[in-house]
Amino acid sequence: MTVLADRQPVASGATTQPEPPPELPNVDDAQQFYLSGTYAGSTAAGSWVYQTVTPGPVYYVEPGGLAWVLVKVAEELSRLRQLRPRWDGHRARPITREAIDATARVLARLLDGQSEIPQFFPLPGGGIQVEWLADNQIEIEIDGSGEAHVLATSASGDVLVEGILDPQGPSDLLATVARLVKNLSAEVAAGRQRT
Amino acid sequence: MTEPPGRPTSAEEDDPEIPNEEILYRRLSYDGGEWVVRHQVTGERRASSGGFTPDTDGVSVFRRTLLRALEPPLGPVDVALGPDDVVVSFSVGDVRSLSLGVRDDLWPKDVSDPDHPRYAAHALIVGLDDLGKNARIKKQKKLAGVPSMRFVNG
Repeated sequence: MTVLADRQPVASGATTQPEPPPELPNVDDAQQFYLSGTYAGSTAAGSWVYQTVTPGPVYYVEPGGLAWVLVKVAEELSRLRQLRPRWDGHRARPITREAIDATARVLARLLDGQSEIPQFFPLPGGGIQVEWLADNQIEIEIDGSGEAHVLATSASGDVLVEGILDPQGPSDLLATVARLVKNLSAEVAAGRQRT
Repeated sequence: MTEPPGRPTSAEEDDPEIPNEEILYRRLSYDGGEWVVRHQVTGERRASSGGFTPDTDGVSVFRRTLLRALEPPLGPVDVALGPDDVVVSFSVGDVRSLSLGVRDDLWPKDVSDPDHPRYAAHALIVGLDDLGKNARIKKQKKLAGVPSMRFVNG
């Protein structure tokens, strides 16, 4: 099998040279994209920046609070990525690329420069659970296939919101969870100032 | 017909010979971490629901009475794989109050050290796998927060 042979020009008069298929982004690229915030310094408030540069879009993170948040997220995802088969002493699978990628996408939609870092846990099926715990509790389970499910509860145990989170598009649920994370983060920051 | 209190809906998976007063131990540590979530203001720790995600056959636990009956007797520290491993205890009655079951699973083969005597007391919490995702996640959360939940090691 040769990749080049598969991509021969079909027009008889074509002069284009055969090329290998383009390299698509993968989860390592996503992690590197997060980690790139560390190279940016530590001054102004962070924000996502999108810029079109030939030959395609390049994403980077401006320095500041969000860069720090994303570096912490990347560290946690890297830690989970290193778990070996049977990491729980039973039958646990390594954390899947789909779970890591989906976790990064979900958190990219939920976090800002003032966000509390969630707590990260591996799941035996290759998924990831992230949790915030203050008066309210927010749990997001990302399974091994990358599907994310949120459950947020009040201190009394009442369900505030639950359902499948789709980080790819607009969603009322996503906006609600982002608001809950923002409120919880503000509550935690205020609580820390008091103590 | 209503279910008798303290018995799981999937009664065929529960062993009624195991009394409600039996205490179960669950190890919450894994390679390099633990399923313990901390309150982000007070630092108070709680069992994370992620630590009660079922395998294909259930949630692995150990029965206190069977551990104590061994010679020499074993305890929660023997459920831990390392001295700092986190182990929690909770009652069978609390498990059944969530319509889940408990049954023995002595000497499981799919563990890294199957000859360790603690596996003479191995059991499973069953019933979570039968649920849809919403229901399972909510029930795991309730299981992690049952009234009898205690940290007994680590």
